[in-house]
Amino acid sequence: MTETIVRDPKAYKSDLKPIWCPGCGDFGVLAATFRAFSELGLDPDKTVIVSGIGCSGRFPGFVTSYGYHSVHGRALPTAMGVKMANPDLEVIAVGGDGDGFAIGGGHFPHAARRNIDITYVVMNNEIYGLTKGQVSPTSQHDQKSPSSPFGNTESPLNTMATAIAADASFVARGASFRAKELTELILAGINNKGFSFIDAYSPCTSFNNTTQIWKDGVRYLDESHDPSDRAAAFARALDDPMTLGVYYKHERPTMVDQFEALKKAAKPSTADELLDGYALGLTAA
Amino acid sequence: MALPDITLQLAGESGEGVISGGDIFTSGAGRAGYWALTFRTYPAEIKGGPCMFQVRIGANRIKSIGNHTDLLVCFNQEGFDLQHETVGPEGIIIADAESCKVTDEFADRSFEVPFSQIAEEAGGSRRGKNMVVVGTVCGLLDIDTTALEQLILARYAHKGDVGEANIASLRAGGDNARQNLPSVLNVDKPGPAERERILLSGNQAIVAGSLHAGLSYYAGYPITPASDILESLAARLPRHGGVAIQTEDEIAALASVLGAGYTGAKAMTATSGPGLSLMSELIGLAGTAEIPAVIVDSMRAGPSTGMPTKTEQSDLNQAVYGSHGEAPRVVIAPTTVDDCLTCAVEAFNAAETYQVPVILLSDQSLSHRLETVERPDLSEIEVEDRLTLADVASGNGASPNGDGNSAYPRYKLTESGISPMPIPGTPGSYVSTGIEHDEQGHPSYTGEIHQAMQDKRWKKLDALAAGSRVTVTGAEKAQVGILGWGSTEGAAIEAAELLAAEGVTAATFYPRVLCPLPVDRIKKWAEGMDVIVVPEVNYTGQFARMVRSDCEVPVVQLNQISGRPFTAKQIADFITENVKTAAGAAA
Repeated sequence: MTETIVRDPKAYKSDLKPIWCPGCGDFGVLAATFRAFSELGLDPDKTVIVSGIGCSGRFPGFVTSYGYHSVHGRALPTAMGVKMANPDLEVIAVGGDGDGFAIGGGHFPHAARRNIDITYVVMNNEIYGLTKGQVSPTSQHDQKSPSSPFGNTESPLNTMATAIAADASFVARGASFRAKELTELILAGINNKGFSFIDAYSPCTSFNNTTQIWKDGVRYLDESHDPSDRAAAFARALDDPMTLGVYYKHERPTMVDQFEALKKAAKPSTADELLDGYALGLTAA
Repeated sequence: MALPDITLQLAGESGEGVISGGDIFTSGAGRAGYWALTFRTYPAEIKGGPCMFQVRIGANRIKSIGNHTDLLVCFNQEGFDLQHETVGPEGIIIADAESCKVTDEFADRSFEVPFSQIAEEAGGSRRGKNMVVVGTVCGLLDIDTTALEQLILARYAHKGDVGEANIASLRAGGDNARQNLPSVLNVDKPGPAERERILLSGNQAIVAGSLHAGLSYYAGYPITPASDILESLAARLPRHGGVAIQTEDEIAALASVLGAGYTGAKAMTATSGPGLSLMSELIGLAGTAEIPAVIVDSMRAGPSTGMPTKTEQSDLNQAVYGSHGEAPRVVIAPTTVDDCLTCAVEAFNAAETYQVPVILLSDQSLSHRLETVERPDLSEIEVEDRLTLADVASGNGASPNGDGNSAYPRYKLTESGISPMPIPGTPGSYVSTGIEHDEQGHPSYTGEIHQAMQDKRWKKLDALAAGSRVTVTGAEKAQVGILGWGSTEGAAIEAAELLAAEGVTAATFYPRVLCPLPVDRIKKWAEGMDVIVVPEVNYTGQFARMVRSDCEVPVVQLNQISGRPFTAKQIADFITENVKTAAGAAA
């Protein structure tokens, strides 16, 4: 950012009251986002938050920045369009585990591969909250729910390992109830030049209340962990995905960098010059 | 006697140079002053399979593919077997002497030429077969090959001696034709060109139009017959300061196009029917969140995978009605190659002006046909931009942000239904959303708000329904009116000319914007017609049904789903056989 106007975290809070249930983890993620924005001094008019559908989908409405509430599962390709159309914007995509890994799962590896310079925060509650409690791609095996009355026959997707496999530029795990660390992760994700993925445990108090289990269960990555070591990051993700911290970092040219270089190298042209080619009869593409 | 135009077909096996030979002949004839319009079929298979290239050339502008083949060149037996039925009663066949025997009925109007042998002797390779074919055709029709030879040299400049060898084959084919074939076919010589002409395809024209309109973001997924738009823009768009991205699917393509459109860019995707099906949900979002976007659908024969390389006009319903709920959108159908360019600009203009998704309905035959057209004067084709908040910046209630104020009323209810759009990066932050919302974009589910917002979103388009472009030929009163859309227009106009020669008065009416339909103007025109025929390359008569229900005008359907465009004669014959008598009896 060129400007460094100091803004209070409250400056990012819109006058819409969140519709989330009391105790919902998404409040914690929203607050961490406000603090990260504040520390970075982001200009709300130059920041866009893109969401899909679900409890998390309403997130942009609670922030004073520009927002885009897309359809279910399409936050990542939408965010790509926003960022590539105006690379000067700070673009944050947010979503839930169903939005991001079920209906939108097909977009995730491609956003990572392309290395779009955006930050993607998933509020992972291992359940479909908005539709009242069906299992999601991150739900546990054998978990009972209205849509898995005899226990979930499917195993949860390891989102950390998936992101590392897709070579996401920044891969981290946070938790809504670890406010300070989550703020730091979001901040680091935004500062990272490339596709930053932060999977934040965000418990659903109404349909899958894992608050206590997660509070008791999460740990932090050892200080000795080297995020530039992809194999180590992968091993860590497979070994214990409930560990919080930055698993993996791989900085490389972003999609914006590459297209800006292409544009710079290209000889400017006009539609009339294109027609000139057809006038010569050289119709081959 | 010389014909005003002739229809040539080259038929053979994919990989024999049928299409490239046809392409280069068309370009050469175009440079020699002839007008041309091509039609091609090719197999969906990657290698092999029968393919055919058809071109109609003449001294005046060509409007349709031609009623029958005047000259069929068979590269092999299958070429004859598959295509001889298209040959007219006086049509000529030239068959490859080594591989093709014609049937007895063509014995007195067919000739054999050893194409490969001539190529080997003249150019040193049997691969020059297609050049011998092109030379033979030029020799037979007495078309000057100077321009063609220049083209061949230019096209093969990077391939060593291939250009010279091809020219040797071309000349040898021409010499053989002049020495050994009787002069049985003549076409009128073209006069000097009054305006500069260009030869291009519908998809190329769409690319040119989109660049003229200011396209800066393109995303697409490969699909026949739209892939060449992706390829062309991948090569061109960086030169225009934009980006072209191949996405993981069509959903991502349109989602990202809407993201770019929201951000202020002129954005486009191109696909065919299956891709448009995948995009349906997002068309509803674009209509509701009021985001400009252009979606090209080059229609192919469906349903499902259907006949991917064949033409059809069967996505009209999907374009007009597709997506859940009732989502406003604009649907525009170009009728010719130059119209593809104009309509592409009009599509962007409508998207920008009305803040809606616009679907541009081309079809395989139009997207891939090469057509000689007068070079459009781009300076005459107006480009429109959306109304932004910055345009109306003073005293509009835009709130400075960062202080917790209410969002700017992005969806403000206005007289026209059009609300100024804030552009991210400038003041006026708001949340763009497909959820029903109030003027601020805040979610709201009251019946009153839903009514007011649907009113706003739909009434925006009233101005377009009243003012959209229509082309009409013929008198205000006629015995037969041909009412259609898209690429059938040329055949319809020629059919009206054929009917006129038989003493039947006929008129044509082709609206470009099919949604919103210019209902009042269709009704008014219909009053002057004794009977109205709607020709469509689809099974159910989608446009005919729309006209019946929206305009309350009775029409007679003419449908065919052969995978080929209509010929003028098909339309004229149908009218002569079925409609004229009915109209006469009614009168």
